Amino acid sequence: MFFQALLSGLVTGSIYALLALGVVIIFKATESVNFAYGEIFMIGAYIGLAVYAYLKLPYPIVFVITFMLGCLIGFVLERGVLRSVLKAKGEIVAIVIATVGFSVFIKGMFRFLRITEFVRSFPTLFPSKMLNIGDSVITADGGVVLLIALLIMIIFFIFFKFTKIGKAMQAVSQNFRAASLVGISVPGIFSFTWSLSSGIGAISGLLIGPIILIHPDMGIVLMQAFAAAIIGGVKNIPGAIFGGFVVGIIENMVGLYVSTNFIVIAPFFAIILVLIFKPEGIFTWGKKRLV
Amino acid sequence: MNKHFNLRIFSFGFIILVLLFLPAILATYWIYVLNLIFIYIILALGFNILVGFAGQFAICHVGFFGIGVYTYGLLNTNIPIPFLFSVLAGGIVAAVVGFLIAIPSIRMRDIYLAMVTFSFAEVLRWIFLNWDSVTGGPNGLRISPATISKMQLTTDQQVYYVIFPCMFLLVVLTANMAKSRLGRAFFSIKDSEAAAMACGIDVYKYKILAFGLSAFYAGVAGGLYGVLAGFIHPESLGFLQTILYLSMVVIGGLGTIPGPVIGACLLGIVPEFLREFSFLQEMLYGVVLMIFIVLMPLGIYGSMKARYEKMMRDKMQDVETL
Repeated sequence: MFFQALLSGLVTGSIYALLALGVVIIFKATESVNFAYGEIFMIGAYIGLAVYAYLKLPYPIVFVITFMLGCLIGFVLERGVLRSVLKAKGEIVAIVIATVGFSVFIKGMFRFLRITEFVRSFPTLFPSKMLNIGDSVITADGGVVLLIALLIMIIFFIFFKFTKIGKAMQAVSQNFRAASLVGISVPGIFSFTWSLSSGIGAISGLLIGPIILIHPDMGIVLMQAFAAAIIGGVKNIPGAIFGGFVVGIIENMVGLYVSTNFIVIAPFFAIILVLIFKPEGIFTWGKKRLV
Repeated sequence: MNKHFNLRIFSFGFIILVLLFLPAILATYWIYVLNLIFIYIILALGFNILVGFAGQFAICHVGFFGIGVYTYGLLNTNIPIPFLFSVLAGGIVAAVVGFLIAIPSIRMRDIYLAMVTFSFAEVLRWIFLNWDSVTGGPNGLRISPATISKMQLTTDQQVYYVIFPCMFLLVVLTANMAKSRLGRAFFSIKDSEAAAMACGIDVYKYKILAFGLSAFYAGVAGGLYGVLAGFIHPESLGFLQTILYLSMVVIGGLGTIPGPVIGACLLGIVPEFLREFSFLQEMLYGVVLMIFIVLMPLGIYGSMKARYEKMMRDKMQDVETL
């Protein structure tokens, strides 16, 4: 039972880790938080569904289309909302309020369009196939999710460490004035980061499609992603990814050993405890106070 | 100056007079809506003390509101004390919980504060939902009607004359508080914590005070909601409620007194016309929030005030150049 919970925790945790990655890269580069990220995740799932189940395109193409459209949403959000807010007042709270507004609007729109009535769930990629690992079992879809998520993280790491844009992103997150002095276009990096982050969010929505039910409220997973990011330290990318897996496993363990009632509240407890006792994140050593 | 002042008192008195006699002519349903708006005003004022005055972006007032409703409901149903004491008790319990939440949270700023307070609100809602033996859990809590010397307050008209004076009292109190030592301390903390500290303001103490005071308003609003509705369900204490009063304060103008009042009136009335399209309500909140924060970050009253002040300044300059 323990290993079963661990495995399911890894699968859901990989999604949390992807979302936490998206949250953290935005926070690192632009010092802002996208509260509409959960809705981008939800839109990603719907886009994937539309392209895969109704247009019947092959999965890799679905993947690319979802990523592209996700990037587009992030780009528009950055140009439309973030820039004007920064120009008007420049407070992080204003960005939070604006993205919360966007998220509520999107949720209302999806309900208004009544998409929910004819959409149920994503068709599975490998119908009723199971993977046995020891005496525990995961669905083949779950395994695929875990693999693709890990692959995306590895690609992102290589991109972030070794390419020119990745290095520019690092520079901007360290000091954007100095970065613009050495010729990096800071607004360009801002747009790029928001697009990339939204693309990752949309992909996570596509990945989770076959596992859970798709509905307009599924963006609530954002809380788990925040919990993961806070556990890992809000500016620590490997920490946030690790935090995602930790949150996934904790949820399953809480469900197994404590009570299923506690699952919904576990991420909030994690946020409160970490922010009060170790606000720089569990995986950040040394005295680096952020709060 | 004196003339200006007289005009202000006159118009203020006129509005109060109208509001006092309004229930005589309005349909019952609109009296209910007015009652709800008054409760929103109290809630928005309390939220504004913490977010607009002291500049602490904490979003756990749904939790305090819930504490107010449940405290009032339990006291009023089980203990025979005058119902206004139960409402007050709701406010006090909310304030105590506010202090308790403030002590660890107040060291944080901005987004961290928002996250931790939002988490506290979710934890409170979870407690309301799962502490079945006390709160009734997912079945909700039925609250017996308020009574004044064996007369039950059941109609919306009767409740109106309870809620309206409470709201009026709190508005006047808040307006005076904003000009007092306390209010000025809050504003200085918002502007710069370091400068406030240098002026000898105990920042830590005043922040916790702002938290407690703000929670008290939310608790009183909750108690009055209990009087009005007679029923509470944890589902109605969700995130959309937070969005609602956030929108009120942002639309009206953060950090002003008339701002939250204007915002509460607008967002109390407009959705009534969209009652048949509940999805539109959600979209409306979202769009309004985005538009105001991007194009009009000072809110309706804030921009009006800014424009008026600019006009006055220009006039003064004209006089000087002459």
